[in-house]
Amino acid sequence: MEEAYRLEKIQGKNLVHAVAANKETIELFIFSGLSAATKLSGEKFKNIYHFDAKAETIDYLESAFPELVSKTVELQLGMFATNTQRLTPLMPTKVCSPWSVSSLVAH
Amino acid sequence: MPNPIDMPVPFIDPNRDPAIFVKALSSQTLPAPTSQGKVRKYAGYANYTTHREWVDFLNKRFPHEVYFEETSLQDWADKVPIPGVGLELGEMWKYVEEVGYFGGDKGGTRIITEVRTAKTQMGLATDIVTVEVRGGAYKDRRLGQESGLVDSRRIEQILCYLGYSELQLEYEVMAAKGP
Repeated sequence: MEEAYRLEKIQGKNLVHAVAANKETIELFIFSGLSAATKLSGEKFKNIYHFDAKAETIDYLESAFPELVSKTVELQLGMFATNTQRLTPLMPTKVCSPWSVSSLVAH
Repeated sequence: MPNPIDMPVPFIDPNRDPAIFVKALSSQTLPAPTSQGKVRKYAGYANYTTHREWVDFLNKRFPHEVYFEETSLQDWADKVPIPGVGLELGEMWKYVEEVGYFGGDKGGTRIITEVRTAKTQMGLATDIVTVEVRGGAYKDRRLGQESGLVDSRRIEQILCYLGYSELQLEYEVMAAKGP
């Protein structure tokens, strides 16, 4: 997961650099981000890499290219409902085999 | 799940909703950043949904019984077969519970889906249809669609389906307002 985090930050920086290279013509840069989980949790949760990588991209833009701040908006989208269709264990999981259905106790 | 059953989670339909938020942000003049040197942050979601509502929803549509069980973060993480992913997502769920998906009060994120227009009720004999417009989101109980985002054309389609030909419905995407 650390490697994915590293790659996502590189991709984020590349995006910021692409925007900076075209800052004269770009009207609005909308970046799909997420909140800074490690920072906002007081470092209680330090493994939510897909949140932090995006938040740190915005941090990078603010520090390296302050002239882009007024042209940039971060859009934080809610959780994808489709995750519950594909992503174990978010999707409903079968908890017993067919030959033990009679032993199922509903919670 | 590593959360209480009634914890609300903001959801979107990723195949449809992001474009509506992007359009909302790009089609109007946004307020200038209020914090020096800080990017403006907006949050968009279709609906807050709890685990209980998901279970109820699935039980209405699945032939098998679906139930919810609250577990510890570690037990939940151990169920994810890919090493590391379970801990990351498990911590994410606890973060949503304890801080908030959008970072809570300290996150500095403005919500752009809020109730903007009061309920519009249309009476038709004994048949009452209620459409709630949430700055671009809607809930249409009669159609059974539990969440979603629409533009004015979609509202017209719904009303056409219901047999209404005309409706004066105020509709506004409120990207420029704070929480």
